[in-house]
Amino acid sequence: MLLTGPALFVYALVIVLPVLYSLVLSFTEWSGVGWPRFVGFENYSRMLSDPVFWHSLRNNALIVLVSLIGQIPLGFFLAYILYRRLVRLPAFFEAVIFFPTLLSPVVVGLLFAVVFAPVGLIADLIGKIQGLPLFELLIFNSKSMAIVPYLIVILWMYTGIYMIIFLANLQKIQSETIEAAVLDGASEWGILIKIVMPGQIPVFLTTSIYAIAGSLKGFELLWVMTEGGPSYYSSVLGLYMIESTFSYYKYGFGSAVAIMLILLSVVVIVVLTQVAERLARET
Amino acid sequence: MSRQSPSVRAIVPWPFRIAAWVILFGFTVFTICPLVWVLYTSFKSQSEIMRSLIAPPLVWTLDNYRNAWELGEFSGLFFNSFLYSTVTTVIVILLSVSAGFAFAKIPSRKTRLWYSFFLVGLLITISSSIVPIFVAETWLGLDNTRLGILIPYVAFNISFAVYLAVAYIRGIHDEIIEAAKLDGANYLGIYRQIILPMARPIITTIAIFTFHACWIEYVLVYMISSDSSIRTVQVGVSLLNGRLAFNYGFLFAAIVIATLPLFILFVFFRRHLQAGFSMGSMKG
Amino acid sequence: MASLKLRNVAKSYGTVQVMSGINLSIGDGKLVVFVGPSGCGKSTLLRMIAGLEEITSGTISIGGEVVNDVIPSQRGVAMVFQSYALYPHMTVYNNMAFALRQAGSAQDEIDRRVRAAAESLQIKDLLNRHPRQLSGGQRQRVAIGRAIVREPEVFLFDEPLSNLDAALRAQTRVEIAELHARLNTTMIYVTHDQVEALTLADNIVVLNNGRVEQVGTPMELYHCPANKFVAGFIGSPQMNFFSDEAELNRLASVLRIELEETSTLGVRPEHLFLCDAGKSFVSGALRIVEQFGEYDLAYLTSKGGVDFIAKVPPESIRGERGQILGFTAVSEHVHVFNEVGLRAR
Repeated sequence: MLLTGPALFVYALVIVLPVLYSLVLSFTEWSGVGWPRFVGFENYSRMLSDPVFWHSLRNNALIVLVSLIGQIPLGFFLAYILYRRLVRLPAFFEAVIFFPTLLSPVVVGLLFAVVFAPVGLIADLIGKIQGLPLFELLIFNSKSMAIVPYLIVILWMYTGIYMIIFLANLQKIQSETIEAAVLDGASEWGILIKIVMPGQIPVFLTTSIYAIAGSLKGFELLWVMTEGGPSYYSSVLGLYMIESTFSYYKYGFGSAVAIMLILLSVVVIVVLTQVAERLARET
Repeated sequence: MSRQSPSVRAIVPWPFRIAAWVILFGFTVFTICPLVWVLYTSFKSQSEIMRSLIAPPLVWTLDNYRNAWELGEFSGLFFNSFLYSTVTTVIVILLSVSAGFAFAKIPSRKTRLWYSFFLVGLLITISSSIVPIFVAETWLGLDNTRLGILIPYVAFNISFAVYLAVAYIRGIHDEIIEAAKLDGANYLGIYRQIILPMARPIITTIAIFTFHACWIEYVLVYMISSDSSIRTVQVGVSLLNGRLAFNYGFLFAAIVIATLPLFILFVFFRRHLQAGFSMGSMKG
Repeated sequence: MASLKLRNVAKSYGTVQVMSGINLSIGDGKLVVFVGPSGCGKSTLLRMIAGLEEITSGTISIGGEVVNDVIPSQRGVAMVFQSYALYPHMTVYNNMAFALRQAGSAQDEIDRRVRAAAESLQIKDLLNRHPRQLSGGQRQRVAIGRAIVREPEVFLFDEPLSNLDAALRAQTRVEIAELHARLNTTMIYVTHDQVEALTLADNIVVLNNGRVEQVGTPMELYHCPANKFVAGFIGSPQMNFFSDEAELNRLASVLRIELEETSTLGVRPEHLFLCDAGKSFVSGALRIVEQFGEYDLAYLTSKGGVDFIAKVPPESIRGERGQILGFTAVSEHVHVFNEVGLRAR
């Protein structure tokens, strides 16, 4: 208790208490001054009938999709190329692809806001190529497409994490296994699909969980890059929570969104972990 | 970490080879080009930028850096960033290694329960619980104070640090601890003389990881700091954007300044950061 | 130096009893080996003596003093661990000095004892190295040195040779025997290897399933095993057992002894010798012959389908596979066990 006590104390004080406090607030209406007024589940029902909530949830789902069909498979493939040393200078490529994951979301957000701005880098490039000096990039004007630039950025920025994870797991494979496959006449493709991939299924499962959890947790990059805009086109649940709370000082409603967000990430992860464990046991 | 890759060659079908090169070079180009672009644009004058966003500078100038440093009040921002990151790192190490020792090597049903309680913290970040934190801090009068930044920083980094410490200390052979017991060391002695020195590699990883996480943190400081004197580099840079829209040279100079410490971290401690990330995925 | 007594020692995890009714008396200065298959509880017993494992009931006394509630470092025992458990961040010198520093010994006393131990183990030149810079054999010596420095009443060895290669194992075995002869301190040595047990021990304690099967000198165990388990465990290759009814009758008549239907006969391979098929009490079809130079091992299958081994003079069998060979033995080398496996004769 002497050894664990201090860590537990800080943890409970800062993480558990505020969450409980928010849970209470989420059943009230409160603008930050005076006493909160109890309103039951009104905040929750209002949230569920708000189109912004559903659009944000849809954008969250797209982010998950990019992880599942983009970052994770690409990360695995990159890791495999480096693990098998199919290119020269694997250490160089490993470093280069890992580097973006360390950058601060604020900086990356600012940078790509410029890149994708109506008269930003991409507009400039396209204008030069097509000979139209006044070309403007209008992708943000589309409600359904506004999230796409962000998806491209996270695909670039965070694939490196999955590469590192897969690389660490691939390096646990006994090299004799690969050597035996080569002697048996397997091609590189055969080794990848028949020898290496089956052993990595648990890693695919855990990284998927990691990706789904992560998509709900972080939104700094998007906040700086688009502020969820224009309007709410590129919003996600995290930004929706911030907007609802701080733009109108509706702490009760904001707390309800916050609880929803925390609940979603915890429930999703717990459920997925159970499913993954069952799957892992069957294979 | 053992870094062995079997070097034995197999036949590489050509579609496989092409896919490998395209993806690898795509990522490399996409990483290096923007960085180079930011770097040279930060040395470009505003008039040149207005003429062409992509062309390299004709005249190289340091004006952007001078202006950014002074107008952005970067010396104060750097001081704060270093302060929060360093203090958090020190506290997190002290707390997490001792807790990690207890969780890993003093097993009982109670410690196991506490440990899973701790692991729940891995699922929550500052960003996702910013509303509760903000509300609690204004209630306690901690908003707009350095303490109001440090406490959540410690709390939100402790779960992962404990997780790393437990995973590592579990790997220390029980017999070494038993040998120390037979040699007359008590739990505190074992912690100080055996565990701490043996856990040095993981302490470095925890330190680098925590420092990095604090350095790039944005939401908390942005939300609770109405006073510019307690802001960090991240918040400072983001506010420059609003104040000086479209002066890209200026903004990019600030971006370079803000990224330099991360680059140094990357160059010297990449292995530790990678180890942290790959261990992080195996949690639970 | 001290004698050691275990009275009615038992151990259980929750409701699962893993050891029960252990009574042992180990004389001052003796080297006692605990031997048994993995999971028999020999290491647990050693760790209970060290105080690393709590005992559920009974008493352990060292030098006449009950130590049940004495913490490990105060029991006057030193232990050499299977993994050596050297402190990786300390030099060899500091590894050996650690216990004395914990006890607050004077610096020059520490220095004298560490150097004396290093001298006797020929690791003087290694004192400033770290464990990772040492070979397996050197680490093993340091681990022993760390124990010697403490000048304990009782040395405890937990499978100390299992991480060494075969040649080094034989050499270190002899060194431990010499160490015991020199120090003449009580030593308890745990192993699963019956060769180590036979060669090192003054007394052997055979354990199985958390119970003591037999205690005795190596030769007592070899010649008069108390039961079938001990008979099978001590000696290599293993004792042959015959329990087939038809064969038992034949054996009984040849040996002129009374046998029950439920008996089992045991004969060690080295006690079987070739004879005419007519006079033999056991015969079998030859499967294969292994040549060791100084002797051969013949692997056979009897008519009743029992596999058995005979140790015969080199190149004494020239037969082909499937040939029927007859064997006999003198009656004092034939062990008889009753239906529950206890020695009947």
